[in-house]
Amino acid sequence: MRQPDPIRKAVQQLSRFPGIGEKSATRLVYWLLRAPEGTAQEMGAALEELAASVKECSNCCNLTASDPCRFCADTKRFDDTICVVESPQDLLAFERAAEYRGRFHVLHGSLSPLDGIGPDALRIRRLLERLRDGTVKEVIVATDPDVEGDATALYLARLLDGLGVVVSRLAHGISVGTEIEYADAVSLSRALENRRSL
Amino acid sequence: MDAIVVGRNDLGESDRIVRLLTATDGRVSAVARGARRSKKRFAGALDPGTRLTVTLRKGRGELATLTQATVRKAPNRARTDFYRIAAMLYGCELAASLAPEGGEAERLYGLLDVWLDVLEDVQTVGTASQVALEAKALTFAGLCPALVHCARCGEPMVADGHFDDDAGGALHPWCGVGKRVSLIWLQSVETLRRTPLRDTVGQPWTGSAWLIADFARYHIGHPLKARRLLMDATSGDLTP
Repeated sequence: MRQPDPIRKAVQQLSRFPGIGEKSATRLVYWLLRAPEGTAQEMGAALEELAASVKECSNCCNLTASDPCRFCADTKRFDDTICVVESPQDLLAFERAAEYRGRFHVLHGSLSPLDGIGPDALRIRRLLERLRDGTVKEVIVATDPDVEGDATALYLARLLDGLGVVVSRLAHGISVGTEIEYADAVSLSRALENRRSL
Repeated sequence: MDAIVVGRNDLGESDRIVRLLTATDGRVSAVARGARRSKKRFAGALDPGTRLTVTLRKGRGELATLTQATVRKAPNRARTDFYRIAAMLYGCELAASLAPEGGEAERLYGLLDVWLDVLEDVQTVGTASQVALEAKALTFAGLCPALVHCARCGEPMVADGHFDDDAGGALHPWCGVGKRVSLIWLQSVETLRRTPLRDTVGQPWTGSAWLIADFARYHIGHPLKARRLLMDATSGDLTP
């Protein structure tokens, strides 16, 4: 059945979201049409504001509506440590853990040589600029423990070598709550390799 | 079936397309359902350079489904050093680009297998081994460049000459033009091509490191994406 134009248009737009197919988009559109008055307008306004006001922080490259972002503006955070993450979502994961009180830097991706994504595509130049004044003593590379994350971490370690900063990487191994019996071979061997004395 | 992961792409929200190199079926792509959402089923198994035993289910569609993947050997040392990780990815891309899809690729598979071992085992790999890898991969794919005989007239190369990708390799100066190469360089590449890969480790190398790679690029039809990272790793200048 042919849908009226505005519905078809809305379905097309919502299907652009990752993980949303045409069926799900149609369901969402019909839900919106039955939702209390003003719901669609509120959502539309929120999306418009999102596009208009969110940009990259000029310091750490996190996505923010205010520049500098709240993490860079927070005077209680330590200036001598920068945690380098792949995405703003990774930064939020660290914030949820509530353990880290230093600064962040968002790369917006990782080196992916097989996809042709090189250092130019990442926010590495800005990171180098931030290290120039000598305040930062440690850079914690918190990239994913996959080949791309490893390549990014090793690249940064080599790039920052000689700049007078300690470059560290998050520990790898079996996650908390895992039973060793069910741990996969790769994680287990990484855990063994990175074991520490008690 | 034994396979080596040579690449992967995300598919939708939770799946992955894994590109595998196998000895019997060459390049094979398969969908690993749920590989991105759950780490349990394929944990650490689908990264490039990982050697697996896989079970594939062939459905009606174009792509097979990866139903099981057991890690035989995962790159370890190769992932703790910038040069090694770049060399590993380059080797994966090179072998995968030269292997036929769905056809026998036993020698290319064996070559990549040895390359991954070398990256794990030895202290210093070196440019000679990289050139040997390229020359051997081209040979096993039926694209061996002419090195000790002129690609045009077939007579032996007896002095410095030229190297032309389109002509098929070395040329006498009177047979054609190309990049200038010395006779020693041509003979060195030929020796490396015939030497077991493991025995090329640590061998000294002088002359162009990328002429054979350029030849591979020409015959593959597109540049290898991982080459840039390998060049960065070998040049030492990493500034973006």
